[in-house]
Amino acid sequence: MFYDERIHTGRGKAFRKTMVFATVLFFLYAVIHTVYQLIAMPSFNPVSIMTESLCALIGLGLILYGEIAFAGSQADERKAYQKDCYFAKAFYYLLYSVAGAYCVIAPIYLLSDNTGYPPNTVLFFIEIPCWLFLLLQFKKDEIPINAEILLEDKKIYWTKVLKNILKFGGVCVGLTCFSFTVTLFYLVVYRSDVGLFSLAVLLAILFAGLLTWISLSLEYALFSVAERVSEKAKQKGTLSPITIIFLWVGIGAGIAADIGRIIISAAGYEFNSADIVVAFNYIDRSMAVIGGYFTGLFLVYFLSELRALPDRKLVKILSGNLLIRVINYVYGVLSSIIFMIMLDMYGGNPEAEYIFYVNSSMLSTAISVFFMIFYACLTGLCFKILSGYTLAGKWYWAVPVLTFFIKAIDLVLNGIIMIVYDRTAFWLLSVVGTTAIGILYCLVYKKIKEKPLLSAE
Amino acid sequence: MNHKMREKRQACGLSQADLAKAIGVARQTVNMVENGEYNPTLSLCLKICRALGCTLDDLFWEEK
Repeated sequence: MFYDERIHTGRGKAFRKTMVFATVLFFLYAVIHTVYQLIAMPSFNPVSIMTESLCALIGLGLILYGEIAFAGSQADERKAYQKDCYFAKAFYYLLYSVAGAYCVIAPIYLLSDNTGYPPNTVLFFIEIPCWLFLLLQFKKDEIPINAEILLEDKKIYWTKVLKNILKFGGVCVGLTCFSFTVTLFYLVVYRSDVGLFSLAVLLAILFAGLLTWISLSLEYALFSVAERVSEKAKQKGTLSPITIIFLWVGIGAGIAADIGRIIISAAGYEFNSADIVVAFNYIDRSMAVIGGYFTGLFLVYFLSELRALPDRKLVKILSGNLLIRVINYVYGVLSSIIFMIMLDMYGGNPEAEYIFYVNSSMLSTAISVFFMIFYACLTGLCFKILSGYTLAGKWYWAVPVLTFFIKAIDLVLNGIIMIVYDRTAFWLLSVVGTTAIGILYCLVYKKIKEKPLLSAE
Repeated sequence: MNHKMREKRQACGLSQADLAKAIGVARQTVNMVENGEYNPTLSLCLKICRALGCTLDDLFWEEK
């Protein structure tokens, strides 16, 4: 038996905070995407933000209901218990809504004269920070995922994990069937003229359902493996191999992203086909997101195994890191919008365009310096907090903490190099640097993997 | 910190894991109750008292 009242309460609070975080992200994404489309695109397509808007509204509704229905729960234990129960359920409702929204919006997107398949932006830009945030909330209170079955035998554990995946598959089938039936009805009654296109739309619904199920199931399976391995390592007091795997996947994806950028920037103009540049650009962006995700997973599991995560300051630092990444993304989109507006204003005057380009690069550098100061503070705080722990191999844990600072250097160099136009050298440096950190950490891990992390003290 | 609970558990010769198993909770929960990081419900307090063979007053009453 591993599930108890503390886990129940902690879960409810973690789910509530994650729902608020996710709803804010859905809302932010919808607003930024709308502004971007209104300014940068010839026409605004409301369907492109429908998934995020729908999820933001559902999230807001669920949170408001919980807060109003269980108001005053601070002083009343019974109400507080009911509130935790509600938010544990509401989180799943929001999760199913996210899955359902994509299945419903995919055919609408195609039917509204869009030629391509709708991108699953929810998965890439919102789900990933939300999973990291949820994991952080769980780990800071030492709450394991799959708490009810974590200490069961291997066979029972994996059978139950598989059952949970199939249960979620059942929900996805239900949502897909609903969307499929409604769309089929619409196509037969109102759009009988479109022929083969109808088949494409119906296939798109099946594909959307399948994609949602696969992506969420893979994430759940990944967490299930990580929890099991990490719990065993915690019992022995050592580091688990899963941390090293997360680090290597993060570093590998980062290197792949950098290589993609090098190919685009060094040889982009030599390609005959723009499709290749687009393909490498896609690899670069996807790998950067995956790299960030796995580095985050690594940090959370690493600090959790060090038992450093119950430290509230450290949790605030990691949450701040997630927030700064979101701000960085918002800044990136907004700066490109301003850039386009200004270039439009200076249209036809090359000197003015050049001066504006240099000025915007200087601004970008200044903002990067701000981020660098932020990351330097994060690094310093991490060192200060972690130095309070008595650890085996005292300074070895400093390596992952340095990843914060590497990000700071990355940002500043990015800003400076914008002025001289050539970033290839930086990306090459980044590939070498990240590989070196990975190798260093593996050597360190090899040395300390069998030693208990915390001393007898 | 709940020193009284830690001392009583050690006097009974139980580890945190043993006590956790006896009362059906996670080891981390026992650790957090002992460190004063988690405020247990009455039902959990009673389970702990029964397992350690003492009363609520012995373990949880705080003199002002």
